[in-house]
Amino acid sequence: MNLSIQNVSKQYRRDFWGLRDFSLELGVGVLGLLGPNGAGKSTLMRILATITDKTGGIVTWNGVDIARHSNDLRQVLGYLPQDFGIYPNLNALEFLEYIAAIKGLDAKSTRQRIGELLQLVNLVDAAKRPLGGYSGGMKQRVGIAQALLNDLQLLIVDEPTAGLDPEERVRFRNLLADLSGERIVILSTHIVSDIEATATSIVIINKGQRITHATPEKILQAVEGKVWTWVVSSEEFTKLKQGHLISNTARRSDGVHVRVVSEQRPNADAELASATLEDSYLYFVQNSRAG
Amino acid sequence: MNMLRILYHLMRADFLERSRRYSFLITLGLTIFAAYLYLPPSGADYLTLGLGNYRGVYNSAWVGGAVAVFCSALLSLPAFFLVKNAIERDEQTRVGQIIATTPLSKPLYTLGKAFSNFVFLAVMVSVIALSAGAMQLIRGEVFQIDLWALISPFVFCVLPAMAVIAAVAVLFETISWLRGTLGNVVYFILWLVLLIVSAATMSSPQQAVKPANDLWGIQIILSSIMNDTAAAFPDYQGSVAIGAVTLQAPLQTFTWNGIHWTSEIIFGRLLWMGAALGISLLAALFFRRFDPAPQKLKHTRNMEPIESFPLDNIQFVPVPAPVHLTPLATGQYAFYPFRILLAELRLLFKGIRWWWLIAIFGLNMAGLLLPTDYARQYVLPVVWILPLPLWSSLGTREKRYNMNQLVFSAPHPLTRQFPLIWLAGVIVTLISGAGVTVNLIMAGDGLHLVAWGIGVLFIPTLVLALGVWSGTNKLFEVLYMLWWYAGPMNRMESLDFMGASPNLPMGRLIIYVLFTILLFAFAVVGRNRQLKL
Repeated sequence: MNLSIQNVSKQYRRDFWGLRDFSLELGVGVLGLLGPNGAGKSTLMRILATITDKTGGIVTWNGVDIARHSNDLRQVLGYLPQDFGIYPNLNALEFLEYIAAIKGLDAKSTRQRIGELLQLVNLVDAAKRPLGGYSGGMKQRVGIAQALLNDLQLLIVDEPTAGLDPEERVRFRNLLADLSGERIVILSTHIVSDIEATATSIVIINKGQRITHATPEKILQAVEGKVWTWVVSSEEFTKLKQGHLISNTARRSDGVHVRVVSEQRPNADAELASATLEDSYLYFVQNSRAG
Repeated sequence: MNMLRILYHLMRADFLERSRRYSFLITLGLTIFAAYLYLPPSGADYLTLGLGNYRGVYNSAWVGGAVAVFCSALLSLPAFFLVKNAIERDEQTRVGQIIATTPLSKPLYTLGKAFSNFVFLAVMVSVIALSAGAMQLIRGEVFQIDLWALISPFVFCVLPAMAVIAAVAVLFETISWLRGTLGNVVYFILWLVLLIVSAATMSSPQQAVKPANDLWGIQIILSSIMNDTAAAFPDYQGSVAIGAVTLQAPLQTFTWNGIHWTSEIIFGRLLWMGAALGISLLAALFFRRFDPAPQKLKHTRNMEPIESFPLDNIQFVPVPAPVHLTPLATGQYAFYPFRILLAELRLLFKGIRWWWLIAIFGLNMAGLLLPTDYARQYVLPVVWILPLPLWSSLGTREKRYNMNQLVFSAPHPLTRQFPLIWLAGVIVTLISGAGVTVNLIMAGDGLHLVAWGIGVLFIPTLVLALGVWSGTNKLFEVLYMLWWYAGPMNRMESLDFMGASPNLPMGRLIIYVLFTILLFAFAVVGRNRQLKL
C-alpha cells in the first residue's frame, strides 16, 4: 500500500499557489498534517481525494496515476471534508444508505456495516430522525460514518473532531489508531493533541510547501534543548512578547509563567523544559516564515 | 441618521456581494442584448411594441418609453428571481446568526434587504436606460438626445415596479412556504395576472389609466402612445402588443413626444413605492431572525423536575466493548444501478407533502377517466407543473446542500450516478403523467403518445442541463414556467413540448428529440466540469 505525491502543485491564480512542488511518500499509518490557516492542507487533501485537479506533478496510488484512474482510488477511499453538507430531509440511516449506493456497495453487507457505524459514532438512538434537526457534532459524526462505509485503504479526514464533545473526540482518536494498523490515514487538524495521540508521522506545511516530514519523535528532537520556561512580571511580559517565540503563558500569583522556544537561553532565569509537539510546530512554522 | 447608516451598509454589502459575481455581468449583458432586440432596425419585418403597422420614430421619448415598457413587463419576472436570495444567503453563509445577535430590529433588517434588492435592480435599470440612449444613436433616426424624455419613463414607471418586486422578494423569503419552488410558482402567477390586468385595461385608447391596476406602469406609457397613434392615423384599430409581431403592411412612423408627467400620475406611482415600503415592513412580522428551531410545538408538557446528579455516589460504569467493523462481502464494489436509482428516487420524494400526492393522484385519475382530447389538452399540462419542486432539485442539490465533495468523491460519479439521477427525473415525470398515458394507449393515439414520451425525456434533461450549468434551480423554474405557459397552456404550438395541442407535425417532434439529446450532452459536460471543484 503506497501513496506517492511527486512535485505536486496547484496554482489558483497567476500569483497564488495553493500547493507548490509538494512531494511525499506514504505507507501504512497515520500521517498528521499540520500547518497554519491557508497553508494548503485542504488543497492537498482535495487533490488526494480526486476532487481537485492539480496543475503540476503526479500522485500515484500503488503505482497508478490517480488523475487517470481516479475510480481505482475512489473504491478504497474514505473522505471526510472539513466543510460538508447533508440532505436535511433524510435521516442518518437513509443518508448512509444513499452514500453506500453511490459508492457501489452491495445492499446486504452494507446494512450490517451501517448498523455498526451508527453504534460506533453513537447515533443509534437518533438514526431515524431527519438530519436537518441534528446538532453540529451529530452531523460531524454522520460525516465520520459515511467516510468509513467502504472497506477503505486510504482515509482522508480534514478537521474530523471539530464540533465533537471531549468524549466523542477520544472515541474518534481511538478509532483512528485502530484503523491505522492496515491503512493509510491522513489527518489534518489544528488540534495538536489529536495529532500527538494518533500520528505515526507528521508533515508540517506552510505557504503550500512542505516544511518537514518526520516521525513525531524526530520532530520533537528538533526542538529539544530549545524550550525554556521562567516567570516574568506583567511589565516584562509585554516587552518579552516582542522578539520571542512564545508557545505558552499562564498567569499565576507570582507572575506570568512563560514558555519560549529559542536557540539561546532567552533569560538568566530561564530553565530548559521538555519539548511538546506544539513547541515544535511553532518552531518550524516560524522558521519557515523567516526563511 | 444611525438607521440610514445601517440601511446603507446592509445595501452596500449585498450589492457588492451580488455585483461581484459573474452571473451579474451575464444577466446584465443578456438584458442589454434583449433591449437591443427590442428596438428593431427600420428594415426589420417585425415590431416589438406593436400598434398594427405603426410605431414612433426612434427619438428619446419613444426609445425610453418602449424600453421602459420592456423593462416593466418582461424584466419584472427574472428580476424577482435575481433578488430572491438576500435572506437565504445570510442563512447559508451563517452571517445571519451574527446579524441575529446584533441590536438590529426585524423591520430594519427586512427594510434593509428590500432596499438592497431595490438598489441592485435600480442599477440594472439604469444600465438599460443608458443602453437605450446608445440604441437611439445606433438606430440613427433622431440624433438629438432628450435626457428627460429618455429617462423619465424609467424613473416613474420602472423604478416603483422594481421597488415592489424588491419588497415582495423579501416577503416571500420570510414566509416559509413561499421560500422555495411554491413561492416561485406563486410569483409567476401573480406576475402573469398583473400583466394581464394591465393589458386588459388597455383595450382601447380612450381607457383611463388606473394606478391601482397598473403596478408595472405600462398603462401610463401605452395609453399615451395609443392616443397619439389614434390621432396620427385615424384607421388605427386601437390594439397594442408587447413582444415580437410580424408586420402585415409597410411600416408607418409618427413622432411621439413622450408623457406629460402630471402630479396625479406621479402620485399614483408614489403609492406603489409606499406599497413597497409597507410590504417590506410586513415581512418583518414573518421574519424569524434566523432561528433554526421549528416552531410547530406551541405547548410544552409539564415536565417532572429532574433531580440533580448525586456527585457523592458516582459509580464506575464499565466501558462498553469497542465496535469492530465487519469486512464487507467479497466483490463489494460493483455497479448496482437499481439501488442507486431507488436512492435517488427516495431523495426526490423525501419531504413531499401529502396534499401533493393527493393532487397528483386526483389529476391522474382525471387524466385516465376524461375523454382523451380533454385529458391531453387540459389535464396533462396541469399535471406537468406539479412536479416542479421535485424536478428543480436535479443537478443543483449537491451544491445547494454542500454535498459536492462527498458525492463527487464516490466512484464513477459521471458515468454511473449521473445517468441515474436523470432516470429518476424521467420516472417522476412518467409517473406524474401516467393517467393521461394510459388514456392515450387505450385510445390508440400513437402520435400523441410519442409526443408525450418526448416530453417525459425532455423535461428532466432540461432541468439537469440548466441546473448543472447555473448551479441554481431558479433558472429552470422561471424558464419552464414561461415555456409551459406559452406552449402547452396557450397553444403556441412550436413551444408545446408535451404534445398537448391537436396538431403534431413530425418535424417538431424530431426537433424536440434532437434538442433533448443536445441538452443531455450539455448536462454531461456541465457535470464533468462540476466534478473538478
